[in-house]
Amino acid sequence: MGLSVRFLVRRALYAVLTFFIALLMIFIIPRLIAVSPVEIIAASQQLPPSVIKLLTAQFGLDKPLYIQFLLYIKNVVFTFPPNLGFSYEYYPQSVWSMLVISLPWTLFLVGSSVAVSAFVGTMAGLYAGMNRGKALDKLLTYTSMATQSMPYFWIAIMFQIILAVVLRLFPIGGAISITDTSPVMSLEYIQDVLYHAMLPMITIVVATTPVYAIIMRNTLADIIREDYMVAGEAKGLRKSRLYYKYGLRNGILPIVSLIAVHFGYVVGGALLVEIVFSYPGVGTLLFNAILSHDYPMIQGVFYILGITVIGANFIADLIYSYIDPRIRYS
Amino acid sequence: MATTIADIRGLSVTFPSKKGTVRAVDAVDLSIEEGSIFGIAGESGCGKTTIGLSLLGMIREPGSVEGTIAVNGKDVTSLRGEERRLFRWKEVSMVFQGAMNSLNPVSSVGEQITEVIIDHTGGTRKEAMNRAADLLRKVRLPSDILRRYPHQLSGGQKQRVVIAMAIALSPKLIIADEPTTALDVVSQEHILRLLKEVVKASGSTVVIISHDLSLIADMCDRLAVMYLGRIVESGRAQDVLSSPAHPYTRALIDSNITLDKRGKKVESIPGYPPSPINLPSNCRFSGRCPFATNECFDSEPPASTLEDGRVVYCYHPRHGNEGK
Repeated sequence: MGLSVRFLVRRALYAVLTFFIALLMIFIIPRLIAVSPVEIIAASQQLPPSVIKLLTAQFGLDKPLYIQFLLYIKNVVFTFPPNLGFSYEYYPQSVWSMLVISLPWTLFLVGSSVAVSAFVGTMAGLYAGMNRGKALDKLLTYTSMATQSMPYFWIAIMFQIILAVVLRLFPIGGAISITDTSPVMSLEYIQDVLYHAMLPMITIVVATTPVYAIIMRNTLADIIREDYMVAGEAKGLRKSRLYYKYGLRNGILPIVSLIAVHFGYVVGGALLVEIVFSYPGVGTLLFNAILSHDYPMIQGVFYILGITVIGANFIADLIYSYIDPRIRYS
Repeated sequence: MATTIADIRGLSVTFPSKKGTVRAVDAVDLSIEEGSIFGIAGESGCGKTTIGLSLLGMIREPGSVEGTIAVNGKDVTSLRGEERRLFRWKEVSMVFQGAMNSLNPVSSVGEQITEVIIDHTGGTRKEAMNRAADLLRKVRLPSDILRRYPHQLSGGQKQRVVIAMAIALSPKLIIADEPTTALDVVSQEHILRLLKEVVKASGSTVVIISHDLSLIADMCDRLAVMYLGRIVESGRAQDVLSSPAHPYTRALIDSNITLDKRGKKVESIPGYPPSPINLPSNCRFSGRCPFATNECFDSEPPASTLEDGRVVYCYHPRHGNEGK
């Protein structure tokens, strides 16, 4: 395979550095808010100065900022499970324990939707791009224009009204209906989960598939004019080879980046969809945390978001180098 | 009597554009004898490459082709689908202009040579690999090149790979479109010698498309000079180049930079060719021709055949040769 070790090391270092910068920002931003958590507690409960001092010391807020940061790093990086503090809202639940419950739901929802839209979108874009100006190409251009002008949450609400409220094909919201039983991997449980996930999934797929298709199609518009494509056609290669080894292989790099970006939407993009369908994922968790000023929770979600985005980009880099020999050997 | 391998009659290739229809090739007749090396010369945009692509049935939509092209008895313009796919490369292959970019950057050299063999002959990968190694030997490349990717090769190596690919299916006709433009002078020399040798060994007919007359003089038996989509003069390369009959051929020779012209002024052709949209109905070179008379501006000159069998489209053939 001859994968360049230098390339790998460089990308890994870059990912680690980005992660630390992300941590620094997650650490600093709440501290930019002039009010400290101790003051909030003190204001509501009329505490004597000695208690305030004690609380400040207990929170570690009397220490210099860089010590606080080092402590933060120690807690979130060098402790397992990461000590992300306690949720204000759901005290005494720790932020980590809440995330561990929500994260699988979001990963399942976004992961499967992105997989479907990346595959379907890329294939549609490939066929449209290789047959420019034909029926499929035109259909694709118009539908993508239509779906891209509709906001995510609006599509979600429309599906909810039509498919759930009017036609009663799917549940209005939630992730499971059998809450009392423990999540054993029974067939019924899986059916129930899929049944509930269907509408949010369809929403994400409808909203993101055209993005993949259009990117693939437009990348091909440039590639199809390249000398090697003309040469490939002149060589009388089979259509499948021309499509996959010439078109797809050369045009897929932007798609790989897009998948990495969409994994960043684990929280961002799915947020609105999760809220509309009351899906118990990270998006809903973040939304509630913002409403209730649950700062440790917000920080915890961003921490997870940071890891996901950086991780996804690192994997994208690896896939890049696998696909493109020019990157692999540089 | 040599047989004709490729016969082009009344070929016109047009492309629609926003400003009007572009006639890249206009009413061209050509016939190429089997086993010969045929040159097509002319400046950029005169339609040389378009003729090459037409021979492969490679004029893409929205371009359209009129006239007939017969290669090895097959009517290229009527080929469609699978029949056309199998015709390409098996009957006519091409060494593309800018070999640098005509290799797929994400596939290894081995893959790119074997894929064409497999897609045409349906053999196994192993057989194709052996054949590919064989082909590399013919173009004097070591077989470990098979595992390399295009970006790891030098310009000369890529050009050799492209030539190996062109002879992979032993086609009847090989079109070499500016086979040496992107190479340094030393590699140019090597590649040309190699091309000549390989072609001789395979018995294929070759069409060399180039703006470089010294290259054509070196390689070709016969030659057609093109100007703005039309052939202006064609005949034996030696005759045409030693005593050009068309003023454009003369001008093209004078503008060529060669060592034996050291110290002499290189003549450039004054003016620019007219636009290929709304072509004039007079002699296309009249606006730039120093010998043009009224009839040149009025109507298009018919073909006239000179005593050496050469065909020239000019009212005043051989004019201006005196004293040169």
